[in-house]
Amino acid sequence: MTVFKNYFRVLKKHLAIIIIYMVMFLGLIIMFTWNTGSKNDSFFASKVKLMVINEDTQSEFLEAFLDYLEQYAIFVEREEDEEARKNALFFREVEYILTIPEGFGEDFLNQGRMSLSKDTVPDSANAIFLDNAINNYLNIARTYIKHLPQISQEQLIKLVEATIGGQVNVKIENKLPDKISASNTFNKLFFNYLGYIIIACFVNGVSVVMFSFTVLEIRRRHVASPVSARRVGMQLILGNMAYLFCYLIIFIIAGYIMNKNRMLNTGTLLTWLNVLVFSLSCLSFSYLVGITVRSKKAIQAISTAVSLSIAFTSGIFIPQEYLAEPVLKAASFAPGYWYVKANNAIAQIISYDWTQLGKIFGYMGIQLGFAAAIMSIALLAGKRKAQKE
Amino acid sequence: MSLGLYFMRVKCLLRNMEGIFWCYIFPIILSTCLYLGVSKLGAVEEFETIKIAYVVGEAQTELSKEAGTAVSQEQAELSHEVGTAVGHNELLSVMKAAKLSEDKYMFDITLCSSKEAVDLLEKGDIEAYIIGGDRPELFIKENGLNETIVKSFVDSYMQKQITIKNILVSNPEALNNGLIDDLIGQTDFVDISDKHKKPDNIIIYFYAILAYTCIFASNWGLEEVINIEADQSMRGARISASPVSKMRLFACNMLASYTCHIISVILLFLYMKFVLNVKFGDELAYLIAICLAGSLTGLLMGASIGFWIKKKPAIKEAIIIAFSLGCSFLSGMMAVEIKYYVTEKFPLLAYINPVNLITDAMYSLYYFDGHNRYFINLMLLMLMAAVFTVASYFGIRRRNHDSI
Repeated sequence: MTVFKNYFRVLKKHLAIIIIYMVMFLGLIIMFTWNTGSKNDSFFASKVKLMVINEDTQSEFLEAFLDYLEQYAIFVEREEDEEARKNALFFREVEYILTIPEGFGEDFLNQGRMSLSKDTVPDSANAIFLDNAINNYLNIARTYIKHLPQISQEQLIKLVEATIGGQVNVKIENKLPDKISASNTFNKLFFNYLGYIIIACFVNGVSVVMFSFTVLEIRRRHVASPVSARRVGMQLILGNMAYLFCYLIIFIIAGYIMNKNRMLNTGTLLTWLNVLVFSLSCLSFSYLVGITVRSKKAIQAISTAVSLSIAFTSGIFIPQEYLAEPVLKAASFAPGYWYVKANNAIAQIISYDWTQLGKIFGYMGIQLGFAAAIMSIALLAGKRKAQKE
Repeated sequence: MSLGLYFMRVKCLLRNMEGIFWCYIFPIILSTCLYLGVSKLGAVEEFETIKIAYVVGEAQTELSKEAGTAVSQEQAELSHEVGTAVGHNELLSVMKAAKLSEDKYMFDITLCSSKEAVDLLEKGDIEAYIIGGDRPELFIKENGLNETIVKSFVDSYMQKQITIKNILVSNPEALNNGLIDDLIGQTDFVDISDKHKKPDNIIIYFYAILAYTCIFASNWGLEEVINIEADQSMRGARISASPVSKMRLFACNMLASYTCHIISVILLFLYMKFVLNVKFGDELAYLIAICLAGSLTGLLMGASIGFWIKKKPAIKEAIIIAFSLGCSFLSGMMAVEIKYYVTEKFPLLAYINPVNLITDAMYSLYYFDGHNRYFINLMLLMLMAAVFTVASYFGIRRRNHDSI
């Protein structure tokens, strides 16, 4: 097993970069999944970050109005400086700046025409949501003032409060129990990000080792040795598979430990199977790179370029639903797209019937197809290279 | 002779494929990937018509019957009165008519049975479904902004019904005085302020990549030091034995590196502006000035690190990569919020970070009126360049090696 041992000796020299990627990945995953808690059974309203610039004198009506907005907004501390407000809005520290002009409260109660003023991201859903909430309150209050002219400010506040208490009954139809749902969400995030690291680390690890073994002098040395070419090939395959399994086992265990809602169910096992299938296609790609590049420095460049391109376009860094259609179409020519698709489908699966499982296995089948195709090209390229030399 | 040395070095740099990849090609790949990834993200923030289902037919009728038995005679009469006034299935028609703008509806409604609605919700084709009737019910799959918008819309409808009832109890004549019209014709109480430009924060990622590319010149600065220092490389040893003035050769090499690097920065800038359509503001001269200053600062910073840190070249390279990546992280290349957080909580750190100074200068040109902030950033960057020039000068002068 000389070749097998040498495989890991060469790999050891490049371990630093693989470890850096591993640490970076674990750091990233902790950052991105920190808030992945369990879902709530009951409805809770989304809230918008709101900064109120109240230039009016405080009145009971305005107080009641701002209390009402608490249902829909998280109040952000008021910034006095205009530039600081603009900064906060740009970086979404605040999503809605509401200015109540001087005299608005008085004017409103007297059915005047004064308006509030807002600064938001134009046409954003958050802005529209809060606009609706504000208008709803003020329109109800205005209707009471108009049709019940004798009403006092106190009565008005009570009446509006009682009115806005009338709310629709909401039911959440999530058939997956909370814990399973949370566990699936974590697995989806963890394994999707892992896709990027697998590509980067496999190209940096496997390709570098394969490159070392395909240097002309080393190949000549192998030919002159008593070990047959078949045995050398078998030991290299064994080395690659050992690397793949060691790598996956480390991350599968890490993912399992880090998952606060960990559970060993069919979904988790399917995710593990999917990452194994994806690793096979990455392994064949790394093999192809290793035997075709002309310098070790090029491997680092290929690793960075390919891993980043696939990560950005396949849905690893940015969810597939946020990517444009042409980008996704182009990405479907790489296994990363099908890997993420399978992970997303596994996270959403409710019943393990054949329709659902067939879809997931179909995605895995496509990845295996990629692995086979890339490996065929690699073998062909390898043979041609050997013939040329 | 100096010109000859300069052109020779330019030739060398352009033939170094590794350097060319990381400086010319990699930023373009990175910005393209980012563009492909985030091109739709801006639109994600925008309001999209919400797909919902509205259950009609048996379910609604049964529910209406149930609701009917539960309410008192007086309430039923009032409901009937209100119902006649606003029409049956009013919620459905109100939701159908709700518009965000001239050509954008708030809801895309599918009419179906409750079984079909459950299927649609499960598949993710709709975000919620409503079972109409006297007491509408809302079914959602998960909590979210769109779900909250649907809920608040239905709430608002129910609250209007309550308003009508409350007003009619005290003032039955209100129906003849335009009560329904008042509630249907909603007044918009919030005007848009024109004070701010569109706060499109995705551009910060592109600014940070451009700034990172400028500061990446530090690798080239370090390379020049390694090439000239006898204890750092074989070429340095050869140069030390040659009759050419080390200071002059270093100046020529640095100028050649600066030329090659600034071309890469300008190419990236043109690529971002004209191919990816990244918004940079309209002041091209200011933008080019900050790129020139950034690249110069990066180059001199690399040279200073090369001269003053007495370690192996590989360690110096690692220090530079870690430093430039760290600076980029703090200026928002990985997450824009970081830039805001650092500027707010640790302003000093923001002012001594060259990547942040370049990013912030570009951001100020795009987002703010006036150039105060831009010039503060530019001046600080030039000050850094001056400090690194002095450091490099003292690093190279009178440095000889007795034995290597």
